[in-house]
Amino acid sequence: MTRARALPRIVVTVALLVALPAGRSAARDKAAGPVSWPQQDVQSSLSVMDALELYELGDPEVIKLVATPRQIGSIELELIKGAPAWIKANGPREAPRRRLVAATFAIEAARHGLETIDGWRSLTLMEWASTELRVDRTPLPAERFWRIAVVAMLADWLGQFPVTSITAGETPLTWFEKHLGFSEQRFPKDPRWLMARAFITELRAIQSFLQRPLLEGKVLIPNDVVLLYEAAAKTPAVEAEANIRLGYIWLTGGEPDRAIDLLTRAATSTDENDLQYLAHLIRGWALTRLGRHGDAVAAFRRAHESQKDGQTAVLWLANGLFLQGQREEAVSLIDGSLKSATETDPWHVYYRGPFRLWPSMIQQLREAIR
Amino acid sequence: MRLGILVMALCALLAARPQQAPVFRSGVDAVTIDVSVFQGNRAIHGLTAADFELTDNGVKQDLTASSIETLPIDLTLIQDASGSISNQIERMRADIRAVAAMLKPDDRLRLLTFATHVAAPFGFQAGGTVPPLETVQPSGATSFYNALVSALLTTPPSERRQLIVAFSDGLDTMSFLDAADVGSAAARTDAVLHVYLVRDAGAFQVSRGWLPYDGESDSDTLRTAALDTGGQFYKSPSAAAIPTLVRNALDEFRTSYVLRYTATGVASTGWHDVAVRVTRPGRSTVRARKGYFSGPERGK
Repeated sequence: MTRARALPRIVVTVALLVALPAGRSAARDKAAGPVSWPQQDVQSSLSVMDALELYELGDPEVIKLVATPRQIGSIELELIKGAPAWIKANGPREAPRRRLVAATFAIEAARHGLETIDGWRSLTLMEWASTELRVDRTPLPAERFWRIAVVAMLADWLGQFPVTSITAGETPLTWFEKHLGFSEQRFPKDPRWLMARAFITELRAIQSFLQRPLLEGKVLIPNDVVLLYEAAAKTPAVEAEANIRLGYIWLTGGEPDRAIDLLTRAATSTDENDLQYLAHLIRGWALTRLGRHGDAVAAFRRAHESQKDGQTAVLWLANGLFLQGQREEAVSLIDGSLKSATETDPWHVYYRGPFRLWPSMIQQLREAIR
Repeated sequence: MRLGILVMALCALLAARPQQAPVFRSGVDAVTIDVSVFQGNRAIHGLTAADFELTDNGVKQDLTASSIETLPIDLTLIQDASGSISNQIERMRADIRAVAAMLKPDDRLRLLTFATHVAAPFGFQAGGTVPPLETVQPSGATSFYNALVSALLTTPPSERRQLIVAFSDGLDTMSFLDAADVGSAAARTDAVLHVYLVRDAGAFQVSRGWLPYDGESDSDTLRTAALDTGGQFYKSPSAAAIPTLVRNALDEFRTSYVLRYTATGVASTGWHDVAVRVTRPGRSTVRARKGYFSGPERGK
């Protein structure tokens, strides 16, 4: 993506860079040198529109300076007030790209806000960005990344806090569905929307699980969830992912044999390490349920080989080995995992649906809007 | 682990340590059992091997030794480090430092924390050493069962006595291992496990991942797992002083007896039910491991 940059804006930006504290970005450091200001001063002096300027220049760290939970509401207000003029400032040819810059800035800020109990403000910020993007009737190709990123963000929030949507009524899920509807209009037939539609339906089912006790260790499998994932599994781009979720659903539904078939199929239809990990891990659980402990240990080992940092597979592999009398390897595995506990276990993202896509989508957006 | 194979090299190693009586923590043949004896809340001292009767799978065993154990203790402390305790982090750090200070120099302390992941901010270190706690930063979900299983499986099969004390609000939002897995691991280790479920208010419930299930039966399973090791399971209605609770567990552990016997007349593998009673007249309460596993349970 190319763009022309007006001289006055460069002057403004350089002035902002000089005014910022040292250590926040490479771009700023080049311009400003080793000046150190207290962060509180920066937060109070940096406006949202200033931050947007810096963000456009390639400094994603600036989001952290303005997007404290306390300020999420004011970000939306400042963008509503200032962004339309900023988007148009460089002429109509630049406007679509700048809309995407502002929209991406908005969801990166919203992501910070969603981590707090006051996540509502983040949703309205996201809504503002979505409305802005729809001003352009034909979307930029990179808008697809933005739409998948929002799906990931909403899935993350609702996956972590499914009860939130109960106490708050249906609104967050409705929001999710509304966003998905726009995404389907903007990028018809994208296979990601098949998975998102199924995930939303699954979330609705989970809400109902939360409101009633499980029946003899089984959950009731809503047919619409199964049908949606089965439909998605027919599309190669999301086949493995859909079969993994179907496999997990059948496992929790008390049908481990059925789960194993789907998970075996999933493991052979993807090269993605995270999906391989999930397929083998959940297959291991299904085999355990069937009492096939030796096969389960082999499955957990495959999961561990797919993603060495995944602690869930380590614990299950170690537990299985321990029960088989292979204590030494079991202890070694757990000791290693305890010393290097990281946040890279795909199972910990599973219940947050497509959230695993967030980092790559944001990265691609940042590159596309420069 | 009491069920590990008795290794001759271990005998030689232990024999080379004149200050300590040789103790084989576990084995197919040689078995040690930690036993606490109470009259009311008061520990009873002065008992000898002749005052105990022990059966292994129903077969009465000849006790070769009984003593108030003087061997050093390995204490594993399990603490919640999830986001829900972020406003209590300084108190938690102070509690851990207090626990480290109450150990004897020969004792050792390690800390396992559980959030989304289970971590070991520090491994076994000498009692009295100031624990490094800088890396303990609360955040994320809670994986209590994962932490319990991790602690039990990594309990060293050494001549040192193993005590695990775990604190949690009982809410598990991440583990897929469950209370039954805790019980299974507990049955295969030497450790005595104390579990404290500390809650400020509200009904107790355990959930697992994002598919919740009724917590009460799980609570019962966890209780059984702890009691089967000779440990205790406490549910407190309010946040308790952790150093005091650990001190109580340590004091009890230090005044417990260690019974040793060579298992005879029973199968060398599989589950061994162990029952201990005091033969001396008078009412007493005996707390001891309920049994142990010998050899692998599962094959291919």
